Amino acid sequence: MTTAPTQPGQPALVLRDVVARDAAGAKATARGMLYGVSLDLGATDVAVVGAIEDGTLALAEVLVGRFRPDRGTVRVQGKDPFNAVELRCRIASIGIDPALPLAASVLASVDLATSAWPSPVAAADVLARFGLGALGPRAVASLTASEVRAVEIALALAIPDPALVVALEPFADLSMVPRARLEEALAERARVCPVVAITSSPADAKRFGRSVVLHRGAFARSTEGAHAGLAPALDASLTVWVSSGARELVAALSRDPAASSIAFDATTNDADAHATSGILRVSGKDADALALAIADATRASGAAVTAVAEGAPGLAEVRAATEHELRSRQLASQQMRALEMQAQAQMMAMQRAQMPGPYGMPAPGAQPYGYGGAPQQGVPAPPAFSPQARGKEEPVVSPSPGTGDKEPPR
Amino acid sequence: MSAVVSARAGARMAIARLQGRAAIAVAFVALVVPIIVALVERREATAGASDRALSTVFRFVVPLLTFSLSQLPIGGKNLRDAVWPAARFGLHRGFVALGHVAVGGAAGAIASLLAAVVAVLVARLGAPSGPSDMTLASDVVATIWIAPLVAFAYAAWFGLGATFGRSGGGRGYVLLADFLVGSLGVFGVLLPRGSAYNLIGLSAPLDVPQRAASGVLVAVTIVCAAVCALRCKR
Repeated sequence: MTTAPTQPGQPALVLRDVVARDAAGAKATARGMLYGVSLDLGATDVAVVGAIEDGTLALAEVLVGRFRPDRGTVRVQGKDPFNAVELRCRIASIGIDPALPLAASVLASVDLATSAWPSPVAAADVLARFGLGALGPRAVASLTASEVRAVEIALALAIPDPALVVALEPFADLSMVPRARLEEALAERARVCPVVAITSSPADAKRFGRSVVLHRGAFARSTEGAHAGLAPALDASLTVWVSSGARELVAALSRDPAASSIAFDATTNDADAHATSGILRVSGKDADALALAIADATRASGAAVTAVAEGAPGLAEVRAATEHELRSRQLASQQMRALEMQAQAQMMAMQRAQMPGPYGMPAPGAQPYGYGGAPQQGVPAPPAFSPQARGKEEPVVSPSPGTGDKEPPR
Repeated sequence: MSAVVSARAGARMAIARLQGRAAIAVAFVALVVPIIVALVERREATAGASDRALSTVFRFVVPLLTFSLSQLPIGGKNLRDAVWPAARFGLHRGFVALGHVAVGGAAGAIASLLAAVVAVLVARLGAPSGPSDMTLASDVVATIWIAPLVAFAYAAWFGLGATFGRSGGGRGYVLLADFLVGSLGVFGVLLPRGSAYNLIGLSAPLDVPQRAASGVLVAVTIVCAAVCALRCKR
């Protein structure tokens, strides 16, 4: 099966004014929609951050060719994924609701899935790459959701010569596949084709080179690199899991100026303060200083810290920031429009001033010269008759100042 | 090649879904109900018992059996959604759907054949024949090809119906229409019931000759399956 290579300079993934809906609502109604979304993507990775209500599922479904968009076009390497069967077998998809073809066993299911691939891959090899060989003889119906997802990930990342990778919540429910292995595989794929990771987790979006916020069915904004740009510039935040001595750690941290706020959630509240375990959310201006402060406080308090993780803004914060930015843009555009209208009005007023009115009278709103109006200081009075301006019309004589009670000559 | 691979994949998926308890239950019904029907008819009168038993089997048992066995591979879904787990890996939606319909039809054909043959045997074995009764062998031979033909036509119709409605509810309407108007006029030609009645010697809708009825059934099966595949492709 030959594959059409992308034209030089042509993006591998092109979306043009796509209007689409998912069918995830009650009675197969739309839960999220896309309203005229456009996107050009080459071999790179991008995280689309948003909720299903923002149209993330609708986006995933049109990208993998499950549904045809209501309007607009989707092209992957110049082909429509809904119609082009030979393209669809090169689109790797990791769905939110994993679905394997039902077969006698997992191995048979994988074999069935790979039967349309351009170059055959042994089903056992697909599973073995992610250490899932033990699932092979089991019945598909006996798999748990995370096992089905693991098989789906293994299948998606085994596709030879992929044209597109679409991963919906790629790092959710990863009990069977090591996260680092998946990150590595996605990064590897991003070197040869577009990788679109659709997620509602800004922390997951951080793993990708670029993040695009899908807000109310449209791409609202785009940020490069870490999630700092996804939400307003908040303080650095670290989450600390403490198995014992949590209270003492909080006390030690509270004395350090690097920590501006500490939220403590005790999981066990033992009478012995040193036995208290819990989760601390520590915020400060500088992440490095904060990490150092935690290290110092841990040493000083003798607390047992299990893990430390960088805090990330939640989707609610990202949405709020997006809403704020959109409002700001809207306000700026309204102000710009008002300024333009003002400038236009001034321009029109100036033009009217230069144009003589009927009988040589100045146009309404023009500079008050003529009837009773004295010429302004430094402004020369216009000529009473300008043959250049009036052409071959009858000459009209402007009434001179102080003769307002007289009719102009006809 | 791709079409064959896709149809085979569809068939494999359908077979996997048919290997459950529900299919065994349907097979049990296919065996027990005709026996009961045949015994009741035989008790009523031995003459013409097999015709009456067959009539009941084709009226109720064959459509309902085929409906159940066509629904099992698809589940409570629209056929387009049912084929997506295979189509997402590059298999052709339309041919995967054809694989589903074919397996549903084959399962329905086997069950219908079993039901019809059992009904004839129970009604005829050991009982004196009436003057107008065909020989037992002729009855069985006729049943052997009529039952699968009718079952495949039903499966194709149900497959097409399953492409309508978000959970494939269209197949239910096909079944309802078949019960209500399936032996009347034009509907009797288009829906399998009319041709089935014609083939087993009951009423002939629009006076279609008995020989043409089998051709009509084959044509209806092909057209319905083709439209079903096209609808899944779109």
